[in-house]
This record gives sequence, C-alpha cells and structure tokens, in this order.
Amino acid sequence: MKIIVKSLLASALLAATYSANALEISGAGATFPQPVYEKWAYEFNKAGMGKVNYQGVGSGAGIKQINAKTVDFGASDMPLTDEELAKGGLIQFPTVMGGVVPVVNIAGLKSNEMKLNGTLLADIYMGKIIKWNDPAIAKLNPGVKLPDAQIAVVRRADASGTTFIFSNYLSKANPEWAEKYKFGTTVNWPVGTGGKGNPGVAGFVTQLPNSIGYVEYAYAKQNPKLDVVDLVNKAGKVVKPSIDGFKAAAAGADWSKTFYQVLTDQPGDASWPITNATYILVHKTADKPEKTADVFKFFQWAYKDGDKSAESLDYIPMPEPVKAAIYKEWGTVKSASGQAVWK
Amino acid sequence: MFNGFFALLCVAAFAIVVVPLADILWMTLVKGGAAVTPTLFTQVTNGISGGLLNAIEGTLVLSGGALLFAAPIGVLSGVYLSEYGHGRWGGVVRFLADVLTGVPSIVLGYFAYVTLVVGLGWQFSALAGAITLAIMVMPYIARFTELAMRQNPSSLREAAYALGCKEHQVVLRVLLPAARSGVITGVLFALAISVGETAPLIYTAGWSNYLWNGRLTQEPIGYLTYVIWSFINQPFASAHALAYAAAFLVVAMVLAINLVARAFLTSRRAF
Repeated sequence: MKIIVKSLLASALLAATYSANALEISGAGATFPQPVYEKWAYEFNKAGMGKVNYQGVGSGAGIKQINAKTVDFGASDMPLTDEELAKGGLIQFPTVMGGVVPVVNIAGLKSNEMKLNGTLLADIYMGKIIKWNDPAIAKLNPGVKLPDAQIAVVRRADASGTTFIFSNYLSKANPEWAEKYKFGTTVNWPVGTGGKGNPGVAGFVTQLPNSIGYVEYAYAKQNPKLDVVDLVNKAGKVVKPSIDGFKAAAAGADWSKTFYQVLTDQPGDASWPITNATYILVHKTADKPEKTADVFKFFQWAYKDGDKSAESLDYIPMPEPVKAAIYKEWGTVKSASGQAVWK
Repeated sequence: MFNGFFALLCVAAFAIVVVPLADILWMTLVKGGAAVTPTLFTQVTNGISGGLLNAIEGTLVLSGGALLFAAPIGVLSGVYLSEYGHGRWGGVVRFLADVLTGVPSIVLGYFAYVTLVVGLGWQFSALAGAITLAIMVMPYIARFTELAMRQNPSSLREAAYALGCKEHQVVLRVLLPAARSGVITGVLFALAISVGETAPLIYTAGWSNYLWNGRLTQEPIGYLTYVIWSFINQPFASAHALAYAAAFLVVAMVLAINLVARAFLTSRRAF
C-alpha cells in the first residue's frame, strides 16, 4: 500500500515537471491496421517525435469515438461517403492498403490449387451452390479433385470493414447478390456460420471440413493451416493474392476527386479483385487545432518514413501521387477561427 | 446402491467444475510461461512485439488507484453497516451494495464513459479507469468489513464503553483492529477482482504503448487485460506470445493476492 502511494506521489511530481508542448495524440478504431499504426507509433517515438496511442476497438467504434471527440483521430476500414463525411463534419484520408482473401479447408487440397470467380463466390455465399463438386466449380477447376461434400460457409458474425469489402466485391460480380443483399459492414447472410473477427473466421475454417471463409491477407499468410483460393479477376486472368496484386488494383484508382475508393473488381491483368484501403478520420473544423496538426505530423512522418515497416507487416503503402493529394486535403482543415491547421 | 450412485454424481459435478479450471490454468501456465522473458519487464509494447512494462505499470496504477478510493469509503461503509445499520437505512444501503455487486462491469464502464470520459471531458485516462474500478469493488470491501466487524463479541464493545471510551474510540481503536484480518482480506479480494477486469477499462482507460507520465486525466494508460483482449486477435505469432504472457501475469497476480488474503484470513493474529 505504502509503495503504491509513494509511486503515485512520485509520478505526480513527474507530471508536474512534464512539459505540455510535447506531441501526444490518441486514436481508436479499425483492428486491421492496428499492427502498423502501433509500429509506426513506436518508431515515431523512438525518433523523439512524440507519443501516439492507438486503441484497436473496431471501425464502428472508431467512427463513434471521433464523433464524440474522445480521440484525436478515428480509424475505419470502410471509407465514408462524401455525404456521410459532410454530415459528421469530417475529412478522411487513406493510410495503407491490404486485401481480403478467400480461404478453404478441403482435404487433399493445397493453397492456390482452387480457382473461383466473383459470380461463383456469391453463389456459394447465397447458398445457391451447395456442393464442392458442383459443375460450375468443376468447370473452372479442371484436374482438381473436388469432394462430393456440402460447402460449409463461414462469414463474420460482427460488423466489419472486411465484410464491407468482401460484400462489395460480390455485389459487383453478381447482379443477383447486389439486388438481394447489397453490401455493408453487416450483411443479411442467407447461410453460414458466423465467426467473431478475422481470428474467429480463421478458427472456424480450420475446424470445419469442406469450409470456405474470407480473411485479411495477413491472417491467411501467417496461418499455414489456411488454404488460399485464387480468383479470376475482371480482366479474366487467374491471380494469386499477393502484395503485387494489391498494388496493381490500387494503381488504377483515381484518388484525385474523392478518397472514397473501394478497390474491388479493378481492371488490370495483375489486379487482385478484393483490395481495400484503410482510413483515418478527423474533424474538418478542429476544436484543438494543435492536436489535429499533430495528427497530420504523425501521418506525414509515416508516409515519408513508414513504408518499410508497413511492407514488413504485409501492408501496401499509398502511391506517391495519392500522398500528395492527401497533404492537399489536410489544407482544408480549419480551426474554429478559420485558420488552416496544416500549411 | 443409491449412496454409491449419489457419490458418483457428486464426483462428476466436481470434475465438471474443476477440469476446465485446471485446463485453463495449465494452458496459461504452459503457453504464458513459455512467453515470459526478461524483456517483458524492461521494454514497452511496440505494436506486435516488445515487452509489457507499460501494461504491468498501468495495471498497478489503476488497481492501486482504485483501492485508494475504494478502501477508505468501503471500510467506513462496512463499519456503518455493522455498528449503526440496524434500522431501515442500513437495509437500504445493504441492498444497494448487493445490487452494485450484481451490475455487469461493462455497464459500469459505459456509465463512466458517458459521465467521466465524455461528460467531464477527462478523455481516456488513469483517473477515469481507477474510479470505475473503485465503484466496482467498493461493495465487496463494505460487505467484508461488515461481516468481520459483526464477528466481534458484544463483550468487547461493552468492555470498551465501560472503560470510558468515546464512540469513535470504540470503533477505530478497539473494534476495527480486532476485525482487521477480515477487513484486509476484503481489500485484497477487491484488488484481485480489479486486476482481472477488462470491460470497464476499455471504455475508460483506453490503451497506451508508453509508460505513464503521471497525468490523471487526458492521457490514456496501458493495462495487462487489454493486451490479452486485443493482441490475441492479431495475425502475428509475436502478438499472441505477448497476449499469453499477459494472461500468465494476470493469473499469477490474482493467485498471489488470493494466497496472501487466505493467509490473513487463517491467522487471526496477523502482524
């Protein structure tokens, strides 16, 4: 007890000598970019630039927290539409990109052995195709031994940016899916077992024979038990999920007018069809202009010096022209008195 | 015949309770123990690896801070309940304390989020977290204190009054010291409960990768349970190792506190 009191007193003394001008910001939101934000924060701090705290609580909670102004920045895997941004008085900018990968658990089948396309994937998730040896799947996979077994569909139980991207792709690839289920962070799934988070889906797929699920690329790569499915992209080419495939998908997007870019079903021979960017949200009118400027300072550092760390964790850095557009967007953020916070 | 069958049922019920517990402890011990390295205590987390120094320190600050609030108020409430709480008021306070122990901790966390974090503008902070934990464990301390005080024989009170003690002297100098092992046990159990809490802290303390610099508000703070809750969901093995190590540390702390509490309870003449 005495020790605790003493240490509390000691810390209070420390706090008294603490200078209030040091950069210190906090953010909350998406779990997908959590490892890279934390790693950037660590390196940023090691470079003597300041402290950045990030709490991975999910995209939905991140949007809520920035609206409540309990954090200096929110983070979401799902881009907000321009109307949503205007309504919340927010701006958004992309930080890194990744991809979503279908994974299966079929006895005797290895990674990259099976091929699917968006139409079939949607049919499976609609419960229209119920067996692995369905003629439509067999036609796409000549020479692959497909079992005469029911497909166990695995999806997310919680609201998630991953589901937003995945269902957006299904909507683009399959008109019937688009009409019935649309896309969003949650979908009114007609079939399947729900897992919580990427680990939940990965867990179900590894446990259930003849199952299919979808996870962020890093989970598929880090988990040797998950077998990856290749996809036929918009150009009609079979592609493996890879950093190069995600980069190719991002290359064609036009970020100049709006950062609302959903990078699914992009043209290009090498494009992986389920690619996404993850976003940061800040208020357009800054209550605490110096805090918002600090947020920009951190992400500017990340864009300049953080690409290598991002790649080491399987994220794709934003292309240089996009970074330039992001700096321009920051210029639109004003303090309450109308001063630009970022020059 | 029936006796044997009944005994078998009892053994089965016992196994149903104990086997999962033993399994959890074993898993934590094996996986967590393997992840415990010296760097845990010397480095802070750096995203998906590093140590747990920031989380260990944060847990001590939050739980210690909670006791600073909860112990005095809880003990005094307990004294009130045992010495003066014979009327209707005592019943109301007792009922409220029991209701408070039954409130899910996440509800307390959300309440504190609305009132302290957003309402008072404290943001995610050590003070918001500590007060939330304090509210959560206060009724335990109060009820433990009350029970311990009630075990004092009436002759003790009468003797103290006969010697001319004032009311406050009777309570503070005679009755409370006589009941101290029970009171300390209550405080220690409260500490153990607060060390293992996650839900209320996610709403109030936030999370920090850094060592605490002593500010009570406007600065989030780390804690071990967040590491378990969050890092186990990362794709990387290094993050999983940290989560298991954190689980190991939490279980070890709670176990140690419980053992100390038991020692106090069994030795009525401790220190």
